[in-house]
This record gives sequence, structure tokens and C-alpha cells, in this order.
Amino acid sequence: MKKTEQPCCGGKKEKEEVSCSCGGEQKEIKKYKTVYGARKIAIGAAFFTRVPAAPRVVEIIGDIVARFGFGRMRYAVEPGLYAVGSPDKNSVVLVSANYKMSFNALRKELKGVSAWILVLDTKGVNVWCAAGKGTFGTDELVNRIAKTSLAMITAHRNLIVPQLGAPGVAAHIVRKESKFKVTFGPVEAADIKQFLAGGMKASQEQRTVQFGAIKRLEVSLLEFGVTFRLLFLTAAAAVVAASFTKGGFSIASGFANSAFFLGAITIALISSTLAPALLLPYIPGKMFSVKGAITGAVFSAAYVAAARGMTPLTGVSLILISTAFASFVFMNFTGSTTFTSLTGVRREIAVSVPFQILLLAAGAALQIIDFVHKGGIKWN
Amino acid sequence: MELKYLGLNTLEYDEKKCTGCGMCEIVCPLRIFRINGKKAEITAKEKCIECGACSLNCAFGAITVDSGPGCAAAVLASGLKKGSKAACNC
Repeated sequence: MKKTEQPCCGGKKEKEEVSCSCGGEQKEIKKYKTVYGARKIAIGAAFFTRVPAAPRVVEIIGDIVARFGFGRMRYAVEPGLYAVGSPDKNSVVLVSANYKMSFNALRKELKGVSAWILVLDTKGVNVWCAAGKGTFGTDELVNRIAKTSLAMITAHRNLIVPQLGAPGVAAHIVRKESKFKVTFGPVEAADIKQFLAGGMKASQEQRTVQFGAIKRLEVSLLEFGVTFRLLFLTAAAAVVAASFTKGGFSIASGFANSAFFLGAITIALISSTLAPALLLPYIPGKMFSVKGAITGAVFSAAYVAAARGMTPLTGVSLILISTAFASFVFMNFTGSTTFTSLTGVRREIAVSVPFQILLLAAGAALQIIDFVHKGGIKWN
Repeated sequence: MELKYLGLNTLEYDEKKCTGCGMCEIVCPLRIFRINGKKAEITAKEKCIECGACSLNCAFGAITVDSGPGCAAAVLASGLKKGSKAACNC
């Protein structure tokens, strides 16, 4: 891939390139989210928006909802120049993405600081992912500097770009095209105050992307939300189907008849998302498909062991299907992590998918044999 | 506990072109590069995640990497729908 052609949602795309476009075609965001307490201020022909450093409670709730993936692709603020505190022509300029969670994460670290925030149009995507796509990129940064008349507002020519913006922003090209000098700041917004106070120096640790238990749990909520929606429909269909009894339609018996199945689905949801994400370093295997398979197998085996009155065929079938499911779903967690490479993921898929299909097919075959054997599906 | 993946990547570094400016050392989120004397050196190639920050910010073309998202959803989507846009959850 050429350096200037990062995988980009709206832009150029080379053949066979793995492009990440966040839910299919990148939609134009028509309506930006409100930033509470924002006030537009004009200076000559240019203007900026003054915002409070602290997001309101409703905005913090908005962040949590987006974590689960609900309305995530529309969770964007308007690109442009923002002010926190009372910045003047000598104040620092921090560059951010227009994903509202990114914007909130930065401004809440700026309590008591006067700074400019230059928000790029990343189509509502966070800094790191947008940098990978090129939307948090050299061209957008250079254009946004011009559009906001930043050179008229600041006396200096310095920008602080988050380090994770570096896959999209070429500092030497920004300087050539805009005269602004890019300094890469720390990975986390939480370290920005220290960075500013400490003479624009970040420690090795602040320059390293971390993936501790809390971070893993946070990002796994997305996979949880996506999988939940998928399984919810399956569960609802099962309840409805089980509600047709000899005595007529009854939702209560629907729930009673499908209770075992609903439990199995809950186990599948947890064992394919939250559990392996949290236990990531402790589960054997390097591939996510292996880690997911182990979690899926252990959880479903425990569930089968705890349940009563089930034929061995149903039990084994359930374990096989759960293992295949967790293996496949958790493989997709690679995209949420901080230490996987595209080349590695390609290898993992090539090796894992045949096994996943085999497990699923074996599980389905046992289920059919069981069905024929019993003359109908009886989960209980 | 350090998290390790498969150690597969396309990172390549040409020391002859390196001027020792140190940009790669600054931008790498896995801290793979280190300036040793007047040249950069790769300390742990197997950790590279192919984000592309180093090669994009090397003004001297000393680093190349075939960058892209290390994301199975994106790979599967682009493999299944050749020529059309891939979807991923990042």
C-alpha cells in the first residue's frame, strides 16, 4: 500500500486492500450531537466554539451508550475550532477527532487549562481508527487549519496531535503544507496535562498503548452489544416458537419451554465476548479463535453439566456449537485490541475458519440425529 | 502480563536511509524503535501491528510496512465482497 493511500472509508482504495469502513458505506453525518454549554464566538471572519471542560451527566451517559455500539456511527460533534477555558493567541492547540467520546475524553482532562481544540472531520470515528483509515489524516488536518483560519487565531505555529493519530498524520508533510509544526502528544488524553506542564515530553509508558483489564472490558462492551442484538432475535424467535403448544398460544409456556435454550444463549453471549476479553492474558493460545473456543467450550460444558434431564447428544451438540460460536465471535475481537497485525489476522482466519465450520457442522449433525431419535426437539 | 500475538508482519527497515531523526521512536505505540547512536534500530520486530505510523512519518523512506487494520471482521468482509467496501467495527 502506498503511504498516501491509507485505507479510507470515503476515498481511494487499492485492489485487495483491507479497508475498514465502519458498518459498510460511510454515511454522511447529517446532524451533529449537541455539546452542552457551547457558545459560538466570532473573531473577524473566523469563529470558534467555546465549550466547558466538563461534559454534563447526559453526555457521560451518551458515552456509555456508544460503548455498547448503539448509535455509535452517529455519535459525532461538528468539526472545527473549539476553546476550553480562555485561550489566547499563545495558547496550545490540541488536535482531536469528531467522535464525541474522543472529544469528551480530551476536554474533561483540560479543567483549569486554557487551550484550543482543533476537531477534525473523522466521520464520527475515534483518533486511532480514523488515523488507520486516513480520515484523521494529513490532508484533513491541513484543510481544517485553513478552514478555521487557525493561523489568524494563534501567533505560534504548533499543533499537538495525539500519538495514535500518527498512522494518518505525516508531521513533515503537515509542516511543508501548512507551516504548522506537529508534536505528537501522549497516547492517552489523561496524560495531556502532565505533557503540557512537563515541556511537551511524554514518558515511555505514556507513549505505549496499554491494554489492561479495564480497557479490555470497556472495548469488549461493543462486541457484547453487537452479539446481544444478534442473539436477542434468535432468543425471541425461540420463545415465540415454543409458545405454540397443544393448548394454544401461550407466551408463559414459551418462556418455560425455551428456558434451557435461553440459558444456553446467555452463556454463548458471555463466553464469546466479556469473559475471554477480561481473561485474555490467562487463556492459553495466541490466536483469538483458540482463546474463544476454550472459553466457549468450558462455559458451555459447565452449563451442560449443571443442567439435568438432557440427552448426551444434546449436551455434546450444544458444546460443539457454543465452541464454534465463541471461537468465531471472539476472533472478531482482534479489531478491538492493541497488539494484532493485519498479516497475523489473515493467517488466523485461514487456519481457524475451517475448524469453526467443522465444529458447527458436527454440532448441527448431532442435533439432527438427536431430533430424529427423539421425534422432535425437546430442550428440557 | 505482556500480550503477544502471532509475530507476523510486513515491517521492513533500511538502515542506509535512516538519518536518526527519531520520529519512528516517538510515534510507535508498541515502542519497537530505538535510536542507537545515529541510527534507529528495531528492538522487537515481532511486536509490530502494522499501524503504519512509522513509515508515514519517516521523511526519508527508510521504513515500509503494508499497513491495515488487524481486524478479522474487516478481513472477512473484504474477502467476501471483493471490490466492494469492507465493514468493520472499529
